[in-house]
Amino acid sequence: MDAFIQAIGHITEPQTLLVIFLAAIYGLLVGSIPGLTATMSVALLVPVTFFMEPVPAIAAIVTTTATAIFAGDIPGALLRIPGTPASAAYVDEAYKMTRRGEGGYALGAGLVTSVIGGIIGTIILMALSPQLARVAIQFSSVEYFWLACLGLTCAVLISGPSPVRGALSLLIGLFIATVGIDIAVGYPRFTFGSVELLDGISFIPAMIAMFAISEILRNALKGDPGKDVEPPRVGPLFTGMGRMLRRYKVNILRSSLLGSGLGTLPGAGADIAAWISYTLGRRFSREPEKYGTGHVEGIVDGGSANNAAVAGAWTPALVFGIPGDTVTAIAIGILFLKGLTPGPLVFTEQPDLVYSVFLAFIVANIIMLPLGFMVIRISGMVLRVPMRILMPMILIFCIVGAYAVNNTLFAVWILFGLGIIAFLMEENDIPIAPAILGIVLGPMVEDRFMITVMRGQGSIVAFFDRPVSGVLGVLTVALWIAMIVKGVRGRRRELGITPSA
Amino acid sequence: MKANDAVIGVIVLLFGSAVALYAQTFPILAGMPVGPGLFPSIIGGGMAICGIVLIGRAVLDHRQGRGAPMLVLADWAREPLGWFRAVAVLASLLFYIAASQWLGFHITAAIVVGGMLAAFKVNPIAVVPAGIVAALVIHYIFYSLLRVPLPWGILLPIAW
Repeated sequence: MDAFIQAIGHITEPQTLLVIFLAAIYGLLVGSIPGLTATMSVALLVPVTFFMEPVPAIAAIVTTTATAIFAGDIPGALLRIPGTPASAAYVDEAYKMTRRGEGGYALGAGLVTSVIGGIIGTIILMALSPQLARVAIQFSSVEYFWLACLGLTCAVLISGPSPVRGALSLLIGLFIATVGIDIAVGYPRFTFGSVELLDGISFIPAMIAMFAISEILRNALKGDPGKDVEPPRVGPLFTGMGRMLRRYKVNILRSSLLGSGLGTLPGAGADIAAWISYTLGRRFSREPEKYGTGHVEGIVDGGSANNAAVAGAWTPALVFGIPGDTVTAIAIGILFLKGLTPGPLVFTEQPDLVYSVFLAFIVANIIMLPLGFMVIRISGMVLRVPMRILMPMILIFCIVGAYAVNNTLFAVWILFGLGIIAFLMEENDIPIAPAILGIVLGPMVEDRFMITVMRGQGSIVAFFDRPVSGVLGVLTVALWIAMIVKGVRGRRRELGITPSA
Repeated sequence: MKANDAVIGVIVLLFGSAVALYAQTFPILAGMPVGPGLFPSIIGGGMAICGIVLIGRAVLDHRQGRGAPMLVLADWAREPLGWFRAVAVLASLLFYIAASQWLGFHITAAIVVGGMLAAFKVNPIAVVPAGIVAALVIHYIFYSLLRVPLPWGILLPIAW
């Protein structure tokens, strides 16, 4: 309890509160700019936090992540460019609502459910992290491998009507992730003598390319510069919010719990949480037919889940030093700079630090409500700028944003190549999101896979010989078989109905 | 620009097979039956299977008499202006790669933004000042505030 009071003292210091306030505005603005991800906004924060004390530094990261994940909804709703991958799951719902003039309602619902989800997620994090430590301390690489497989399988399942196309997209992403120096023995793969490719294809330029450059290309090809599209009215923000909250209270609670649980798993972050929660929401919904047509329920599902997952991702980061997502990976790097090693010892030696993380989440989520409201109001003006002016600006922003990750022009080559590939994929109904997940999770999946293969001397038994891995493995394989059987059966039925020519 | 499933299938089958075959040339770990080629082989194999499934579907559809044409061009694809603008987008990326180091960020960005605005048929009088203002604003955000080392190029003598 002493540590808790100490943590309250840390957080309520004027300097820390100012840092949280500025980080919230920063996160909201950067998150709402397409192509600038939550990960990148945190990465850019690193040099600044270097000069801070540990608690304000962590508070800045926590606040920026939480607000940027919400703010990713804003360009998603207005431009159909998710500001962060976590908003990708329900970007179409929000965009279609904006086209109907209900953009304010969509964003307001996203904001309120984000705040609720974030707070529920933090409460779960506080309750769960000590308990989870005892269970997961026995996990080895094979369990992590199966968990990642399960997450990726879900991503393929929910990516669209055609699992083959989803699987293809995932494989493209996994392939992109294998480019560069191999982790096991340091062998250069698919680099063809290029020095830049040795480092692999970094995720942030890849994501900007696949979500933003492809969108600019689509706009260039299809847009009519002669007459500008009437900017969609954002509409009232909080009208009907109370009714929405009462109506979907079960969704919010379920998605927040699911989000914080999924966020806890290494590899499954806010984006996977949003996807799975969105899919489950549709499954359990009383009106599933409305999903995909601009239905607020989908935003409620994904919006509360992704912010809950942001808090959940800190569980493995704090307990084991294993990042639950890219943001916590950066955060762990900063803690190392401060001479702190995250792990079970932090809980016993510096509990005030752990509690400060929890409190920073609560404060960040509370001030997000008024600040988020203001930023949505400003962002409404973004669309008053015609697309023919906005697109060149977004293009130069993408170039600089991609360049800023590693300060290398190779990132612009990634924009060029993957931008074209992503454009062609979407033109042919191949979803983008599984590819993005493949790029992010690829190195982790391969690492765990290779460790397990080596442990078993090449025998497949090593994947199933532990109790937890056995259960997870059988579950995953059963899911794969079910997908194949369903695909074949659906095909037969389809052909049976169609009269042959 | 929607290609027939068979076209996509053939491309994916060829690419996946090439990945899997090339991965066979990777070395094998000492004392192990496997090496860094194992994972790419699985990915390539998976792609090849996806390709075969897509080809199989297209063939079945064709037999049912409802095969899609090899390549469907959407309406916009017949619009020369659209192609021109798309090429301008890609050319901007290549121009940035080629020019930014010696021309410096300001001049390159102003040309990219100005050129793109011109390609998108914005009023020509506004193009030049808009490009310069955009370059200055983005430079201020990324260079001055976020400390991204954007190149000065030939403007280095007047760097601020």
